[in-house]
Amino acid sequence: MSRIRDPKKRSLFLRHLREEPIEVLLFLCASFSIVVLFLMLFFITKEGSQAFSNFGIDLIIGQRWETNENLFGAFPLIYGSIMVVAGALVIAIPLGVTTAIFIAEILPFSLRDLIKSLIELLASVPSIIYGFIGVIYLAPQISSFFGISSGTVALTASLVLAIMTVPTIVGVSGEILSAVPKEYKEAALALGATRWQTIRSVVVPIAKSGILASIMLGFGRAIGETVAVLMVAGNTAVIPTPPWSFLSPVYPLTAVIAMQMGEAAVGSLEYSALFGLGLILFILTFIVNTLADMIVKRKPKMRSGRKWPL
Amino acid sequence: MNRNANKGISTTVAIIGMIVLLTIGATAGYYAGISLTPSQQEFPEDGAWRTASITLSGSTTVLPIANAGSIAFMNKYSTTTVTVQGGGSGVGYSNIIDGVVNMGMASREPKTTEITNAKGKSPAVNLWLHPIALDAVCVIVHPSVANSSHQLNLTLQEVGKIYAGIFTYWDEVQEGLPHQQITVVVREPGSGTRGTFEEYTMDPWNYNVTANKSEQPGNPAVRTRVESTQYSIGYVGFGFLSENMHTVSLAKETGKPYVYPAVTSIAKGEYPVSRYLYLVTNGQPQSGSLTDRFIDFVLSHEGQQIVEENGFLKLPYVYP
Repeated sequence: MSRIRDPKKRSLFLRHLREEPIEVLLFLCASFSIVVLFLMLFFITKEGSQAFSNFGIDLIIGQRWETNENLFGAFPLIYGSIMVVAGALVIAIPLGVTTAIFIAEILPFSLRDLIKSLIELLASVPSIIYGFIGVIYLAPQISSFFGISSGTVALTASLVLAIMTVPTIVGVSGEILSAVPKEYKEAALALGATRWQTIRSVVVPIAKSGILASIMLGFGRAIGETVAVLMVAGNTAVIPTPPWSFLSPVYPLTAVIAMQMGEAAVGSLEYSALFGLGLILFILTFIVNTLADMIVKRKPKMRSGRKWPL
Repeated sequence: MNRNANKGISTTVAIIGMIVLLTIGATAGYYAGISLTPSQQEFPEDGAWRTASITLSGSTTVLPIANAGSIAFMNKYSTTTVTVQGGGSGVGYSNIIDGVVNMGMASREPKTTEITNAKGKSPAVNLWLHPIALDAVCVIVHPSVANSSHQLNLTLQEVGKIYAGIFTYWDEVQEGLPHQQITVVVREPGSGTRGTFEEYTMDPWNYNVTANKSEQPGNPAVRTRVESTQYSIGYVGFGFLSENMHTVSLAKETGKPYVYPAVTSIAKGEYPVSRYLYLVTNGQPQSGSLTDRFIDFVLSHEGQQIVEENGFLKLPYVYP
């Protein structure tokens, strides 16, 4: 250090010496989550691939999941997961997107923050509470309304998941909708468009990719939900007859893992089968989240030279 | 130096740093995993039992007894800590084999796979079963199927056929029952209650459980399910019976008398599906350790009183 005689260069060097450790520290913190993610991925892949070498493709297409008989066909479980999530999205998407549009465009400014925080409150309620409400209140209602003997069916699980997914969709869509530049809306209104025409033809098309991304994130949340579906889905590892019947019980992947992992001895056949399920779940969620990211990053196509109409 | 002052970390450094961190993380994880094997774990029980702490996990049938027992024990010896968790007998065996708890709770004997797992550990785990109570597995149905005015009587094989899916409607089982689909409720695969139940109602005839069944986690969950689902059937430990369900009288086979589960009929051995409830340790617990003293407490007069209060039966030789 004594070598640098020029005072200006010297102070720069000292400043760099102070900055470096801080940058390294920030780097360590930032990489922590990435490192954990990759380690988890390695672990699940390692344990889950054991399942695929044990059972092969039978793990995914097999129709019977019976641990005590060493039958590990996860097809009814995968079907159950997807069915319940599909049902949830059918309810949550219209509800969520319209709520987001309402909050972003129509609600007076003064109420906006209040309503937004109330909806975010829905997201912060622990999922077991939803499961509890589902079992104690929703299931008997559904059972008496449809005249079926048991209310813990795919429909109940979809309803509970929908309530949990709506805040995700509203939150992200709301952000995207608020981010639409004011100038576009003002231009439309100046040209004589009504409020609804502005929303329909200007705001929503611009926010389309963001709304799609929020739906994908909602999907990710719903398919990973464990406790609530465990309590209300019925836990029957069969494909409903007929296959589209929501008034039949199903057994989502997450519920199976939660129920049966505790007693699977480390390294045993069922242990690897359950990790196989976990791997399937991980891959599904990963694909959906990646798609969501890709769609959000995509810039809306613009015709050359003109900023709008898009 | 001037150029780099505001650029932050270069890309190469970042990538190399990530790879290094990943390797460190993976190695740390590997060694952490190894240290979880029973041989490395030490439980502080020698001598200073008064300030020690132990954990139990496993059967949800034994859980109320262990829970009440632990509270009473900790009231008596306030510096000890006894923690009790559920999960099912399968979890209990799996945990004691993996060495993550001091004692398992089980409502069935270990399966052959569990014994093999235990022996395969190094050092080998020696499963010691300590019976602490007498219990019976009771078959329950929703009051829509039968109620106190019309007691439902079934043989073990008939129950087995229901669970195997051979009977799917209640009127196939017996005349006078409603023409409604049977909702079959079971426990998770490792459950002790399920193991005992299937041992008596399905294994003798090599029946396999139907796929069309609802899996529930724990005795209380089965009870809630059967109480709230019409035309359903399930099984719970004797201590979990309630007025909101109908309990079935079982006969060992046709021609034998139908026995209703009650303290007398179970204690006398008349009820066909009775079983012991166990605390499971790895080998004989060290004399004077907290584990040893807790087992002694549960087997003592006070402990057996707690067993009775929770709806189960004292061990037979405790009866006067």
